[in-house]
Amino acid sequence: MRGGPLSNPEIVQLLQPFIMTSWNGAASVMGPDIKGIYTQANLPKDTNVSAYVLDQWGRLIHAFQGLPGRGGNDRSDYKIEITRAIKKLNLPSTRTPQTASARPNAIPDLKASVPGFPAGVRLFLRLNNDRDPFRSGLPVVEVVPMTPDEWRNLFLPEGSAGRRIEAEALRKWLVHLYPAGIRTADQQIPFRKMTGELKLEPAGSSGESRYGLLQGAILLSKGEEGPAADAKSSFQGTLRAVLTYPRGGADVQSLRGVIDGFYNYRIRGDIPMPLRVTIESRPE
Amino acid sequence: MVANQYFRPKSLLRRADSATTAEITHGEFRVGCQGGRSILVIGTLLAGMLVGACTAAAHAAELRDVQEVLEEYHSARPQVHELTVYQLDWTPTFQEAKERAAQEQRPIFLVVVTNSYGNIYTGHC
Repeated sequence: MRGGPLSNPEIVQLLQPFIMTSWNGAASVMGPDIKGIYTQANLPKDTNVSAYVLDQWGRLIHAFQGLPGRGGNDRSDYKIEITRAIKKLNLPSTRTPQTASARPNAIPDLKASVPGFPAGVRLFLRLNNDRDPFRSGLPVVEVVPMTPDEWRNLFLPEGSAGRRIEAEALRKWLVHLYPAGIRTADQQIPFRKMTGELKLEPAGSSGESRYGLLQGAILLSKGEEGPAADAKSSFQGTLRAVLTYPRGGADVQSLRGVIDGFYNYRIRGDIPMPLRVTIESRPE
Repeated sequence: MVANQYFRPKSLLRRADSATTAEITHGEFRVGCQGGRSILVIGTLLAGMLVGACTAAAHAAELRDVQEVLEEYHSARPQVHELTVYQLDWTPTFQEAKERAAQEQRPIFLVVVTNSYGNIYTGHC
């Protein structure tokens, strides 16, 4: 759906007046506000995806099955359903829809917090598989806030020969290295063990900036120690990133890099899923 | 003079060509000049030049590595058309969406996915 109607320019245009939000979780842990809407709409429970249109006061105006498509009770044509909702809302009298081109991409991001340090990193993850162009073309976007102390794990004083950094020190980034669309049973298990040693070395300078190159192999496992670990999903790959530092300073100014590898999806058998991740410090 | 010669390798080489004796001693290339007037210790200078050249080469290699990683990053980073879903006005939580809706007098579009642990906004769903 995210890569279907919600990425369709025509639907995106229709949805411009709306504030978009979502809720994922087990029906048993639904909070009272979502549960109230869910119960009131009383849609058939043929699928686990549903869509609701609420007015500015949070009142339910329209609801439909969330899986896109035509035909059958478990599919909805988003264009038809959203057009119906807009009529019910009598939208033109409340607000003129913005055009999609007028709105800047609201990609998940971080705002600067501590002067002199990036607020964190942003990761774009995608399946890197020509045989699955749908999922390969739709990136997952995660942001990871970082404190100055966490950035100092990557400090590199001028004149330093470099040093080694354990993959575990980058846990906050690496926990996100799994593809979209995997089973909940697998998704709910975090990576427990992170192994690998990355080298951070000086890599020249240009103008007022020095460069550092961070690179190495990483292995992330969802299993505990021992043979049982092989029964759980894992990620294996390499990280390469360029960090910039100011001349005369040791703290990171920015970071850009790529992680390439395979998510070994072990739910039924062993399915290697190629993943490509770009990583960048934010804000610019 | 020696300092000047260090920065003029061609003149250094010309001096070496005119030498009558030459030997390598403990890593130094010692040249005996005609008439035995002086011995130029140019091995150290050549070594210095070599180190300088190696450093420059290493520096260039490092910058090539930097360039290579940055090119990989730029080619792998999603293009704008692949991020169309972010032309929608996403708000991370329903509570926040309700507050904004009331304030901005706008409707809400809510997607509910049951029995799923994830987030449509980030895409890990």
